[in-house]
Amino acid sequence: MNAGTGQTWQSSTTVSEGTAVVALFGELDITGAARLREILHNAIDQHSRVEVELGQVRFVDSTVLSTFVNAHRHATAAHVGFTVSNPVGHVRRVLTMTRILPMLEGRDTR
Amino acid sequence: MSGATDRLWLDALTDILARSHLFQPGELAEAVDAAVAPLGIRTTIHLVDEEQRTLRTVPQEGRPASEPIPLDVTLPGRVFCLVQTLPLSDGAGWWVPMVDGTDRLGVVEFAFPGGVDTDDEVTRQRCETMAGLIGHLITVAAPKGDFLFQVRRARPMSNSAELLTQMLPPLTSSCARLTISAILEPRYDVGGDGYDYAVDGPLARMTVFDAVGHGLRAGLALTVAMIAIRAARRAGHGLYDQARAADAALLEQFDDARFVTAVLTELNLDTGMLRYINAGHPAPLLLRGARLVRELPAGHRMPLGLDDPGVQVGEEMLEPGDRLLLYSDGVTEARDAHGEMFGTERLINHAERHAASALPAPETLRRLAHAVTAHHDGPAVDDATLLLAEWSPRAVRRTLP
Repeated sequence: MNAGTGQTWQSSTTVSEGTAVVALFGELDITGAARLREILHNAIDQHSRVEVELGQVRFVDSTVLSTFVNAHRHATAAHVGFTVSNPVGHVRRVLTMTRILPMLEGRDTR
Repeated sequence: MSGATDRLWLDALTDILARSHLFQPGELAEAVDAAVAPLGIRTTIHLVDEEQRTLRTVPQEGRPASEPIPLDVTLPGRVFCLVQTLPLSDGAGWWVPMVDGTDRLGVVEFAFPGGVDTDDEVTRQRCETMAGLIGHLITVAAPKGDFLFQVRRARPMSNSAELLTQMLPPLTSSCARLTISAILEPRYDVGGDGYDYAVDGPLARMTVFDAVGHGLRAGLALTVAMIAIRAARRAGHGLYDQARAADAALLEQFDDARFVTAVLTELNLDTGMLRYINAGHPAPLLLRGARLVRELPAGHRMPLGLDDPGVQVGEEMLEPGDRLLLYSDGVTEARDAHGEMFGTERLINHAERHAASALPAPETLRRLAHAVTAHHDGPAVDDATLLLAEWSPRAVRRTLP
């Protein structure tokens, strides 16, 4: 388990059968976006599938959404699966409002 | 009013207009004061500060410097807020609202040291005409120098806010059938939020934006989206193509999934048909009377810059008198000391209450924005934008002096 840094949020990455599960905890905003980007891109570069567990995240701002979309693009270019799962509360609301959730849940059929 | 007095007013107006070609921004207040002196009038021009909290006096040679005048508890503040002339407290003149078109710039103090009858409607109207002329001249003279910008500022502006100052149309604009007003916070440090509008013939096109991130990077993304939409609009393209033009421009300029959420609207003032696209933004609110009718639920697509071709333009039939309120999430997500958000419900409550009190649209927004600022606690302020469109001749009249 790798502990992420930052005062308002943490992360842990677990790996099984080629899939990295990056679990995030707390409140993420622009101050953590660079660190989050590094965590996600590292996982994408090392594994064939990456799943971001959002069940324990209480807040994300738009820079975090942009970081997710950027990671999704990076993963797609590298033929790596990249999905988010279990967004709740505020996080589900903003992902739904921005219409980004279907793409990040792998439900986007366009 | 005698013919001789009328002649003096004409001379004063002619004098100011003749000299206006060469005005420097810092010369305007004294030139106006000198031109009306033969009428026994002393003028003082007060400009509203960028955050619309105080009136700041334009300095004049030989006059003592004065403190900013708060809008909320003073007579001149009331004149500014309600766009309504009122007599000076000593009864020897008027405070007159100064607008450019219907954009509130400040107030002009017309003092008659020799006394005046404040029931004299003709003289009051002459002062209002003069204040209107001064409003136009300030708008024309300001970009020639920095002086009038400096008068309006209580502190320096960030680079991104400076960029926005150049990008945005006036806060308020009215035509015979529609009033549009907008507000942005935090005014001295706004980054990625913005608004734009254009009203031509029966079509009113209004857009609000919220670019990812903060500071100048966000301001640049906003600028790219806004100018792409403006260029497409001016080339005659509709809402869908405007949004696609913004996608293309953002994808060309940024490679880090930098996106801009936005609501693009087009209201037909002949029919009441509102067409809209919601690119990942909070849904517009439709108010009728003093009640929320609904949050407009359609026209969804992903934010601008994420290349989403699959959108159906939303449609809603408005009724005369309806109000449309567009806002960015910085309004509803402003959090207090306990982490509680301002929230959509509170926004709706405020909007309904202000609709009932029949304030001018820019005053409704000023109070709404300050309610959000008062709710917010802590330094990391997200940008907050509000745009209110009122499809009502009565609302239009409230924006006129």
